[in-house]
Amino acid sequence: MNRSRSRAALLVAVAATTLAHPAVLGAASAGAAPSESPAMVRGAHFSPDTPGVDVYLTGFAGGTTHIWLSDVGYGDVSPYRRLAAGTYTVAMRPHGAAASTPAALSWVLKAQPGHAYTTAAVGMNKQLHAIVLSDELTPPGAGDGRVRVIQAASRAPRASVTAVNGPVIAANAAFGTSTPYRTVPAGTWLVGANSLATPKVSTHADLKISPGAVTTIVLLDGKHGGITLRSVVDAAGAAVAPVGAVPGGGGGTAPRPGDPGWWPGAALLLGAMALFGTVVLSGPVHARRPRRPSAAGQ
Amino acid sequence: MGRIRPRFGRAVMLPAAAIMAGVLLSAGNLQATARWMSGPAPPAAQRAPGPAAMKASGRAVAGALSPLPGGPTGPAHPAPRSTRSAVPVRLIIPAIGVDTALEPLGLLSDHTLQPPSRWDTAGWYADGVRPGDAGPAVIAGHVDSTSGPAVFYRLRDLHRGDVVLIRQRTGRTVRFAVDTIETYPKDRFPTARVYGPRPLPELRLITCTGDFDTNAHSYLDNLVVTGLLVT
Repeated sequence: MNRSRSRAALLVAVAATTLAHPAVLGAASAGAAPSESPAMVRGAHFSPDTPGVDVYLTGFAGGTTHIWLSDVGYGDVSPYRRLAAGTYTVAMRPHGAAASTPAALSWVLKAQPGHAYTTAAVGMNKQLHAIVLSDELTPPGAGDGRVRVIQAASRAPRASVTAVNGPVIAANAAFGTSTPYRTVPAGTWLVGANSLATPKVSTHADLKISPGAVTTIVLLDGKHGGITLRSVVDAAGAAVAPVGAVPGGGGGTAPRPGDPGWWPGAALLLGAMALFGTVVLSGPVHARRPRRPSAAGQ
Repeated sequence: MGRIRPRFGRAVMLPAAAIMAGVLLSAGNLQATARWMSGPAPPAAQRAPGPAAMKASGRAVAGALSPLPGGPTGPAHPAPRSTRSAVPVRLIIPAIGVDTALEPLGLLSDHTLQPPSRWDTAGWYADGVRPGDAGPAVIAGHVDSTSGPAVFYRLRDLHRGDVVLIRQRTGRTVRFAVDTIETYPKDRFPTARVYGPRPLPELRLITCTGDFDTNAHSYLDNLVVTGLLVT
């Protein structure tokens, strides 16, 4: 089997180099140097006494600046956006301030391909600073969700967040911190938040922890005093993901390596198709598992 | 439980300094200015790729962003509400001439995905993510029948950037662009990578590829094409 694979690879390589068909060459080079998948980024404002801001992004490579989020206020969490992987400067200005004015706060975001990030301004205004969190993308177990808490309530210097008749999600979390993700059975939980400092404040809310999803619970200062809870979905998936591979073919076009007349025929077919310019070999051509010409032709 | 520990005061920071801090950061010298995670901070080398990792650098410019005069006033805006996409009814991939109805698929008793019932029609995993909603929506199709090509025969010919359209029952069409085309041996299928949670809408177009095991009547590999929602 391995011998026939390398023979197939050799055939493709010979066809590509000797006949120099552009489509074949393009496929081969695309396989050698694939460009990267984008990262996913969202922005948030968790500074209770800081007014609305505009947020700008500047790529280190290229350096063009554009406004990313407009009029982000305390408690806002933006939708995710895709971003070419790379390093960026994030800059914050008061809402409506000209892009030419000095940034009130700026920081660096390193975005890796395929990864997700939440970046935010946190703390009280006089200690305003930025954070970048990596958002989890690994699947929870069946029937579970993954949950973290961002504690952004200044009226609760320290707080616990607990699902009633369920797990403690954050214990003694200080204002301006976030917890690691933990597993919580999926469902709509009555979640309570209690400050551990004086004056005591507390709140509760029905929060949905979706199965197969990753959720962030945010503890905020309330609109009319006290504290309040919100949840945002970081990443969603199937409640029950399929297990393993996917069946998908009857084999009617599969090559039969055992057939005695297959190799000469395939070589002729490939050569002829390349010559007439009809071969479209897409995707990577790699030695381990080369794409074979099918018996049915292409 | 770590507290926020600002390393900088409110002194004015020039943009050049911000860029310099960025260069230092990208060079691997994490200049973390605050701690935003509970528990003790891991060593810097472990911090960058970790799930709860924190890396940020920045400080406020004095006076540029004054505090609200009345102090904290609560959330600025109500929490947004999300709506669910309609059921997908058709898949169109112009680059490879695919235009197929979509049949709903479930899981078999061994929790594997039910194969589409027809060679020439693709199916979508109806207990999973709907195309257009956040997460990986799964669409499966046969590469061939027992006698010739089937609906996803030319899936292998797709390239990054090719357009994939999903028509929803409401008539709305959502547009995806191909990001990656990957081949996995079925006995080492990366379930978490293919089906794991995602922040934004994605498609997983899946068919068979590789060698055909004539004894098992099954191909040995899966071809997985990832599409990203175009907004």
